[in-house]
Amino acid sequence: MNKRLDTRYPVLPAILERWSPRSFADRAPEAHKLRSMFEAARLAPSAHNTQPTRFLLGRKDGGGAYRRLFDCLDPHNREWAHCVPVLVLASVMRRRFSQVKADFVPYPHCMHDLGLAVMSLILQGQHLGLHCHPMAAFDPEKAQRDFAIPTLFAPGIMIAVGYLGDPGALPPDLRDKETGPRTRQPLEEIVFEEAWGQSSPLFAGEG
Amino acid sequence: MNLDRHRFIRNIFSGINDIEEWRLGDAALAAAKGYPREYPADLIDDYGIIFADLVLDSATGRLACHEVNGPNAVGSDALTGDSRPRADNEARQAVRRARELGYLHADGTLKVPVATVHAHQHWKFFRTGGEFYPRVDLFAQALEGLLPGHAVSTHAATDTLGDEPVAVVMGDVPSIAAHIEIDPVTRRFTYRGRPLIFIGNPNLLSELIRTGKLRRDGGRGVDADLRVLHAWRLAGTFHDKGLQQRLLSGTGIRPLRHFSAQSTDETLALTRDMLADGPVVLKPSDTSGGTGVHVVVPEMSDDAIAGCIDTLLADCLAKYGENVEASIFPLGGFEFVRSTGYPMADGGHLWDLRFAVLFEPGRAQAFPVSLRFAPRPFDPGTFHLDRGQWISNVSGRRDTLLKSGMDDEVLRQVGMTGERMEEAMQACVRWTVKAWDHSARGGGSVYEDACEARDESFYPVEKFMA
Repeated sequence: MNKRLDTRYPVLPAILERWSPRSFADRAPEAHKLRSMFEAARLAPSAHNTQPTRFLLGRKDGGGAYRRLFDCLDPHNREWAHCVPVLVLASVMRRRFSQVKADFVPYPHCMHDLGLAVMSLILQGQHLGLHCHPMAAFDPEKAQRDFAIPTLFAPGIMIAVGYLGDPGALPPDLRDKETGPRTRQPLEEIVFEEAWGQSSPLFAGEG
Repeated sequence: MNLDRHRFIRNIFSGINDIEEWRLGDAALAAAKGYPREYPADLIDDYGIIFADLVLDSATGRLACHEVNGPNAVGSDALTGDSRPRADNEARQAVRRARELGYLHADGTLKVPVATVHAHQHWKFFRTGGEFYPRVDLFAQALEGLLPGHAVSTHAATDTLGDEPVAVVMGDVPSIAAHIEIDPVTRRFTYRGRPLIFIGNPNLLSELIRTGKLRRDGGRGVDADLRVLHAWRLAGTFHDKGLQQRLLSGTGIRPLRHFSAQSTDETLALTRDMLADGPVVLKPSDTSGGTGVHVVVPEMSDDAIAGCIDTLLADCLAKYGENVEASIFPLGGFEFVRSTGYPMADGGHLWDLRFAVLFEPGRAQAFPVSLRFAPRPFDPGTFHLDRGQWISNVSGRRDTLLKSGMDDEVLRQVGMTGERMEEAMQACVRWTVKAWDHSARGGGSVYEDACEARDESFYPVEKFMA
């Protein structure tokens, strides 16, 4: 299935090919590919090099973590995620430890830093032929409780990982979404220059 | 082994100059005082223990810290008379590590025979057998409880291991280190060919460096998987006394001025500079038991200081043998801090008070261990020539020179009020968490931390808050 968006400018293949499917094949990702994905996430930047992200891995063919993660998903996501071979819960440190104050301080960029790590993980997976689908619709309190996640950390996102599957296996409404076109705002609407809301001339022409 | 056997062992060691902090233990008194005190430590994600040696600075009235030791140190039995909480803490780390390193099946049974090692000071300097051996026994018992169905056997370092699934080995640092290897691929430790799941003393690293089995990987890190060491994230911190002082900032304990020198010549030059502000304590890296610690004063000539440095190197050579240069530099110089005096019949004696922080994921317990007094009264004119006037690891071996950290009368006399004690324990926990964070993030190299140190408003956090 080709879900590529038209682009006006060249980008990395993994970025171009990435999308968030709901149909996953009944095939476990190889351990070495998962290792590379987490390695990529580990290399992500963060404010003060806080490295605030922690991952909880659930493999369908592994122990009981998968089921417990799955049970944290919103029912709408469970409709399709039951065929996902790997679930990953990404959590983030809510506060940053300041070496200067020798104490915790607010960390408003924590979710941003979590996102950087998660995107690294997703792109590495894509590069290796795997697809990811990040999900915000899950119960973070349940996850916190069920996995005894320390209160310093906030569950932030659940990520489905696996090989692309057959969209025909999805319920009809989801199947349509799966095969439908992807949309993104044009660059002129998101990149400004000189003034807020004023499209950058960078995209007005070549040169 | 039961508690009577532990007492039997302690009685043996009492005859050979053991420090015997276990005699200070009083479980009822500790409970009455609310020791150990419990503190949240959200950032801590593993097990360990530290010991911080604190004083009340007579000049400033503030808390200062001579140094922080790791699991190489003792005194964990001074609160209640035994080290059971510490031994339990060690055992829980060992089992966690066995699981993480893939040596346990899902049902908790071992896939392969494993080993643990507890190493103590070189025999000639060993004065803590009354704490060490009972703790190893308690550790073995705890391990047996956590690994049901597995026989746990204790061994001396000279023993060939049997067919037991878990071998708990004890001995002095050189004997243990002689049988440790590092896998060239995984960089994991083995002992007599078995995977190690626990190493109880970071001083083994220094010995492995000295004997060429380990090398530093730049900075102060070593090229090995350190996760089996108790308090492993802090392994490099325990032997970096300068870093220990820098980590004190913000904790409530005043950091001491210090320098770090890479050679004898540099030591001489930096010592001379620091002497402008008062006496300097010289301490080599990667040594233990107070080996090589010397004090120099402003009145000394360059030749006298150089002689002192030579003596320091000779001390280390005598204890550790050849290749000692590989591990004693950088050599540290520290501001000499004079404690308030503890009044005795012959005058005021210097003292220090050791605190322990026993930690596990998410929490820390802190408690006072013991007060050590210098054997002789402090004389500003001669103290640098007389080791008996200042606190070192050779102090406190007589019962009159070692008091419980719960002795209110003694604490009052040195100025350690209840509030000060609480302040000290909170500071020790803060130091532990800060050092843990520093190690986990490679904190020393973070540019933003340096910016924040210079300008607290560097990262305008509140402007990003919703």
